[in-house]
Amino acid sequence: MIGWLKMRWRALFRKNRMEQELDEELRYHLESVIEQKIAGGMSPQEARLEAFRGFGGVERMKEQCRDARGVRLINEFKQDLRYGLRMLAKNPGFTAVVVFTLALGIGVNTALFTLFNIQTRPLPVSNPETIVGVGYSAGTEGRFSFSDYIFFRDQSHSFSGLIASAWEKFLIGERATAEPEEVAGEFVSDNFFSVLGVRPIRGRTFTKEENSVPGRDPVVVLSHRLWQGRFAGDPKIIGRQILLTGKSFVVIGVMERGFAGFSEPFDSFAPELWLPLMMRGEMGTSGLESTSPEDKKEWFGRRSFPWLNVHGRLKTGKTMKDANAEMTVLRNQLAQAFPEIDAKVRVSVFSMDRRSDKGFWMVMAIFVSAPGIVLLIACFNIANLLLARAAARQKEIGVRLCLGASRGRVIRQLLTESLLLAFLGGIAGLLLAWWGVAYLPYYFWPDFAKLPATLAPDWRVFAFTFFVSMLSGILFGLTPALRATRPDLITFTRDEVTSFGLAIQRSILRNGLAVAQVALCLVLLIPAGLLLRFLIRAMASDPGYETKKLLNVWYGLEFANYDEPRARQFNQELISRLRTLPGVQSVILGGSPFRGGTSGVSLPEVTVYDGSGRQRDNGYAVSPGFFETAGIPLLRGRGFTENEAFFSADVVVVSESTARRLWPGEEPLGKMLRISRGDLTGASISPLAQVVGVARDAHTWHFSEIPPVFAYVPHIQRQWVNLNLLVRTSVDANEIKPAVQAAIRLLEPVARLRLETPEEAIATLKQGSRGPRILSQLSTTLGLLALLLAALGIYGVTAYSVSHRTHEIGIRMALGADRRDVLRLVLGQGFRLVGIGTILGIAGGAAISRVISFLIFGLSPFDPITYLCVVLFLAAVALLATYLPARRAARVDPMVALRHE
Amino acid sequence: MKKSKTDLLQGTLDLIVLKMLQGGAANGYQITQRIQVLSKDVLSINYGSLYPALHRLEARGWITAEWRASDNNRRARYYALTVAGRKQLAVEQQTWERFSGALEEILRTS
Repeated sequence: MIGWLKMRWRALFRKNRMEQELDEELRYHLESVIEQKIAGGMSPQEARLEAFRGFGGVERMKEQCRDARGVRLINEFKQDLRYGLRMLAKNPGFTAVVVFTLALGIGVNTALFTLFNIQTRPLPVSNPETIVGVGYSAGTEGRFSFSDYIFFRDQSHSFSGLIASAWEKFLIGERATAEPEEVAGEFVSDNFFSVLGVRPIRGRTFTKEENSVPGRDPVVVLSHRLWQGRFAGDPKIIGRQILLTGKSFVVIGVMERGFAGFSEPFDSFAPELWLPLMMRGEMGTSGLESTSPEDKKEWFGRRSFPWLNVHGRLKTGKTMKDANAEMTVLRNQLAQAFPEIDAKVRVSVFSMDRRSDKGFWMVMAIFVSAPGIVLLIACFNIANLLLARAAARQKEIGVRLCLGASRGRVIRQLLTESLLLAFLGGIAGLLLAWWGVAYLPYYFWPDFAKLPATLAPDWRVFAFTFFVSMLSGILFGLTPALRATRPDLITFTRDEVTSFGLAIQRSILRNGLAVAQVALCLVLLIPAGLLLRFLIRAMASDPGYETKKLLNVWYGLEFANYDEPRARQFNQELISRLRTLPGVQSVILGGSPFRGGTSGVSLPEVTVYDGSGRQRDNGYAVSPGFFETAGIPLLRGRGFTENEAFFSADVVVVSESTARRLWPGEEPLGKMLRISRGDLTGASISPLAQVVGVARDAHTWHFSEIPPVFAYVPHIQRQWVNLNLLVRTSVDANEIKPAVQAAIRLLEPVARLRLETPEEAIATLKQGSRGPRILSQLSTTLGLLALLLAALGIYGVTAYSVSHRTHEIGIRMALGADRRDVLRLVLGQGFRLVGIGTILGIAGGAAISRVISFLIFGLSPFDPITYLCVVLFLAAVALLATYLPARRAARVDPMVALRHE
Repeated sequence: MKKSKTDLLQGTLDLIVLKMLQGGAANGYQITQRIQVLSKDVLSINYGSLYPALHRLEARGWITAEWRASDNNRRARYYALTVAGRKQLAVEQQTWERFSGALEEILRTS
């Protein structure tokens, strides 16, 4: 084996040495034969002649010896490579254009693949493939009550462990700090870390003991990021007391780097600390994820109060199907034992792999196919260039074929050149992507700089780039190579222009490529235009509520240690003080027209899914006077009365879209609608509510997006520590801000405080609509890139055809055609291509836009103005690309052109 | 058709060369001499096919080559059987014996 390798090694890399040896070996043989013949009595001269005669064709034999070494293919490849490199070096302009074009095409593909690669990375836990999610099929995002979790944890046999966690926001900081930092964290079961197979790098995680008695053990485990950030990597962190939302906790551990529970570490809401599940009752709720029960015992006592996210690790040998079946059986047992449970709600076990999510694939399909189109256009361009060059190299190729090179051999040589170009383009593309990837993530995760995530490409990125490069090399190289070596070509080694049949055939291919480029270009540009128009319209649009004279005031009294009567008193005093401020028209408690107010209201009868596939809330709880204060007009009926708010009556105000959707053409007032309220004492049975009013549509949930279904229910104030006021002003709200802040600080210096105008809220909401913005930026960038490449393509085709029709144009002019005729001839030809491409492209673009409109609510896929603008834009660019060569054609001097022949 | 013929010849040549090396290392010239002597001048191996055969066998790892001083004290390339080569020789010899035995049977009966 070693000898085998050694020989091949020598054959490949010590070729000269090997040749010498072969010569020497043969010489020895020859001389031995001569000696023998001399010894047999021949004269030296005779012996020599005789021996040579017997030896025969030495070169042929040497060639056979070389073949026998079995490295001929590799050597030929090396030869092709060397030749290819020489060809590329000899045409630096051509090489540069091709490598640059490819770098753009491959670069955008690699950059987006890098991001895709990050998105599909498995959870940073041991054996992530066996971790599954467990959830209820309906209601409160599939969460479990504590008792249900314990039941499933103890009764199920499909899992080696079932863990529970609940997300919450905390205030971290000392009491002296006026504005403490908000961090996200999770309450977790004691087996959370061990089941996931993650370890602390310092200290320890929770014991069973620490997770057994509600409220007894104030201990906390920190994330690596929090430890490094806020605590500056304090080496004595273990045992240190820290304040969380005003309560003292002891740090017992720091988790390993990159662990953020089930969240993306890029997510700004990724948990930074973990508390024992049993501490849940002690900490307040921010209202963002869950709402607290009236009595803190109910966190662990009431079966109908769901707040836990449950995940499990499948036992070896158990599948998701097994687990699903078992959970269904257990759920039925539970429903029989406790009649208050809705038996229709099922339990399902689902994969945590994002790749099993259909929506994810839909988005990713766009993300992968859009840059793919750019690369395709780039390849068409290069194929066109190669076709033109093949024409120029016909003599060379013809000579090779005549001298006995097989067609396969020449194709291999041409393909080697293409692959070499592709390889260089791939390397340039990788560098380009590397540079691009450093900036791209900011589109996706605005706080990217804060995050420890690494974007360094791994082997998958390298493999992808290599594969894509080689694929494009074959794509753009194969057809020109096949064409250039066609057997009938040999007869045409002299001049192409004389061979009409061939010239026409070739131009069909080249024109076809140009048409395809225009079409593909539109496939990218039309959605880009639609998204752009969607965003522009959205920017300018009225959100449907007052934007200038409104102020949302959040305050928290966690640091002030108020009891409830004191907090109530504070609230009343604050409201009356604010009402007396100059410029303030009205102040109401609770409710906001934009996100951040009291949510947790949903219409279970009307299921609405957002991009991530989760059912989302589609309602707010608002106070009496809300609609007047927020400036959302009521189109029919009325708002809520003080009485309705006080008794939390089952009444509801719906948006006009909702009314149209649920009861088209009918009177919505008086209709009944089932609503579910997170803060309605946790009842899982949703009450029927009567529609008492219809409000005008407003962008309540997402920036620039009217929710298809939206409802308002009366707001009930349950706690007085953490709440929001809505202030309507008669002047610009920004002018009032300092006065409002001063009024609160005067009453309580350590109150937590956040003042937000609708404009600021819209800025936050814009973050929520990152999807359309990213898609728009991406498709615009890619679309313009595609257009640039396609313009070059059209220019190339036209210029080529002009240069090859110089003779014909000369004759036309000699026969009386004037410049305008020639210009029309060339432009007409160019525009025929653009026209066909446009028709195909509009069809393709419309199809893609239709798909995107499923992802982005409110995007109209067939907006005629956008189509017109995009086509005109493309036509203008195409006109320029055709006009330049056409002008050159019109300047042809008939005499010169004819002499050219 | 042409191919199968050369294959057969090649196979035979390989067998002969391997067999010649069974007695010990030899250079190309010695191998031709041995063949001539052992076959009583019936087989005369063309150098044109001997050297490609040697290189092929070397590439397959059945023989190794090294430069050594020859009988007349000059540098020559000596070939020797490897372990794999010995095995191959046994296999090929057996195949050949079966084949020639069968051929003999056929020729005798008809």
